[in-house]
Amino acid sequence: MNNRPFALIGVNSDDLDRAQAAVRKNEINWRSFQNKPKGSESSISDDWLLYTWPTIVVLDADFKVRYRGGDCDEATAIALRLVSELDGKPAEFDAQLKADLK
Amino acid sequence: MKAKLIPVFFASFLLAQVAFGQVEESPDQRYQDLVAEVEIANQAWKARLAELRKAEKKGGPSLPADAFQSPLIPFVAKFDSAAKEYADTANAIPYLTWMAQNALPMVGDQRKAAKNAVRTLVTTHRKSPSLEKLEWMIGRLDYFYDEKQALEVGLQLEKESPSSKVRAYATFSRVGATINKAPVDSDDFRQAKEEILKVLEGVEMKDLASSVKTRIKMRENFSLGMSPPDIVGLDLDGAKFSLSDYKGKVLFIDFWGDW
Repeated sequence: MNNRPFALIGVNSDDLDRAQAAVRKNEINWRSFQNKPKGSESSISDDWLLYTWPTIVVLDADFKVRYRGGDCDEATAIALRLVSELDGKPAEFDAQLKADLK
Repeated sequence: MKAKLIPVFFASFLLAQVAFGQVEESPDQRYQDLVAEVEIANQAWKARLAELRKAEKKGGPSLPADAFQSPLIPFVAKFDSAAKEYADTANAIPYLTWMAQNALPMVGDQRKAAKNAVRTLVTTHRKSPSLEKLEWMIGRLDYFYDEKQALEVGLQLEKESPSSKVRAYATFSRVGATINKAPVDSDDFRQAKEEILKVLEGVEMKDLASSVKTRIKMRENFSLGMSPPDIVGLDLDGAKFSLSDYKGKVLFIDFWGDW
């Protein structure tokens, strides 16, 4: 998905050490945050009113929610369609990204 | 001396009659005895599980398949049979409530019996204040009935239950689906929201109130087509980050953990 209008972002619910270790262990190559960094008053999931894990949220180019839920295949299909609508190229995910998401 | 022996003799006589089934236990005593039996079975189950785990840790056999099987399963039939004996009387209520509270997560006949127990409670015993113990079960009557029946049973509870908590759960059962699914700008959603918030105002039900209010807030602020709050801060590598910087791209945000 390089050079296409798409970004994969992770929000991790573990403490910092464990999250960093998980990134190394699972060779995660997308940008991630802590859900509730030390010292912060609220968590991202609270702000976003998410209560189940794992959850996926897909936002379109206007920053509007197009999907929220736990179905990775459905979320992927919606994201692909949106990317394709944006750049006019076929809705194909590269194999590496698909493998990462599984 | 003889006078002292008379009460002892009389008590022994009564006990013997109870033991041989000649004097019936009161429904309440019978219930207490059954609950005590359940507790003994529960303790025995916990002790066995602890022993098996200990043995497994020491290199013994791995836990058998039945190790986690609920010790309560054989009791469901006993509670069910007592409830049937006391059918249509208030004496059945504790037995039915026990089944509803304990057997619903089970499978097969036990779950079926628990669902029937809930149905009996919310219809035959709808005027009993102890229905409060069913909590979410009344808030989700669609789990026990088809849509039309759930509506009818719920409306009857809203009208006839002496408990404001039961009435609030019944209202939630009726309007919950609208709050969950109707478009937030529709009249149906607005009406359902108004109705449930009004009902919740008058009762001390923090859990239901907070869950309903959160749900409404979520629907109103974070439905499809709405923009969530920005994420601003440091990423896991310590670099500054703002999610809105990615505006213009499709964002796939994965809330994950290392489980």
